[in-house]
Amino acid sequence: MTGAAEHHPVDPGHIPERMHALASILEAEGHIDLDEVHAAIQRRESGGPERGRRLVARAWVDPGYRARLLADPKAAAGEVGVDASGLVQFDVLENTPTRHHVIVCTLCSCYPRPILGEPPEWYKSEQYRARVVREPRAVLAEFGTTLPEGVDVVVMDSTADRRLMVLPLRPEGTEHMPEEELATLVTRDSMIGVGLPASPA
Amino acid sequence: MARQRLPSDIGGTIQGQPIDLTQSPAPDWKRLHDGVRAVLRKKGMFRSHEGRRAAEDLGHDLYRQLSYHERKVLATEAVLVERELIRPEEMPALPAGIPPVRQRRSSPEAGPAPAAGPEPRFAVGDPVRVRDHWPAGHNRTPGYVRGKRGRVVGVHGPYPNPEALAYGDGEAPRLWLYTLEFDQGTLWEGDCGQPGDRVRLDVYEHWIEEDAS
Repeated sequence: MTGAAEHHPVDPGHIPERMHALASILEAEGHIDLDEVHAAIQRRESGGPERGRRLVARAWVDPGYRARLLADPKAAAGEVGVDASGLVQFDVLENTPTRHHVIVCTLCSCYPRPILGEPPEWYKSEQYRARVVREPRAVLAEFGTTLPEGVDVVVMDSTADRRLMVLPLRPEGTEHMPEEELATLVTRDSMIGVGLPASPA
Repeated sequence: MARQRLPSDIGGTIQGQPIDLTQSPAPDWKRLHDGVRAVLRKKGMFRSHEGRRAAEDLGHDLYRQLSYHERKVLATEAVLVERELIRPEEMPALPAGIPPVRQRRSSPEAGPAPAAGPEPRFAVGDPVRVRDHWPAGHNRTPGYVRGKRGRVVGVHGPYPNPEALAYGDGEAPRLWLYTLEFDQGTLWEGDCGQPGDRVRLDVYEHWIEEDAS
């Protein structure tokens, strides 16, 4: 994928071997307990973007909640049963009819894991990290996303301890849709900003 | 001053190369690594900032040639050796080309650490300029905004200085943190979107100057 395979400096089996050796040594020295490690892996993998979907759908149907989500997102996440307490600071970027947000971490892969789960592989790729700050509209086009005329793109580079999520615009034609159904339209990519919510069937 | 970027500092350096959207299941060693780091972090034996810095310490060539998770494994190992939680001789021999570790590092920018004043120096709306400064040590100010003019759109913190957190387990001075906004056209040469397009990012106070112009 990186195109560097022909001068890859490490035997492909070496890093897995190294990782397993590292874990064994840490356990033998009493620094970690592998049961704790497996519990941590399970916690990490136990939730995905459905948590963010709940925040978005509630904000779409409840203007009071929307205001609280923008003013104090950690507390508002708690209202719908999403635990964001592990984040130093969590902020929600509100898309408007004239402003569309896209999130990236050009320096590593900062991502709001308690809200959206593990980031997709592409989010950590050099191509996404390097390109989206410079040619955001070309990158959006690769995700099949074109914005209506008159919409500015604001790329947010997560360089510090703030973790960010996009609050996308509610799709047209969903005025009578209940909250649970609206949540199914909210895609992970629409909360990163490379996509838009799905249209109602 | 040489404008040498850190290996991780890649914003704006690639154009046109397609993004690979395939998603493959995470291999066991990657999941194990994530779990080990989570436990070490909880026990105060590892900081994410140290891991980022140790990945950068691999140097430009290795940073590019290794995959994202391969670098992270080597970085975790390096931090644990620096912290004397493991001994290098316990581990399998390093492949040729990978620099051996390594003692505990200190910031190449050693000197009086900046600390936050009681109040933020800047306010929302202030025109500012990011320092055109290229230190060799870990920092979180991307090269693409250094020397560039923008404006303050948010004030946060104070938060611990990542430049100190990256080099150890001591206390780090707290700094005010600002969300700055830049017009796309001020950051890049040539065609870079439409007139209203902007980039925002968070920058710590000691990187920011008043824009005298």
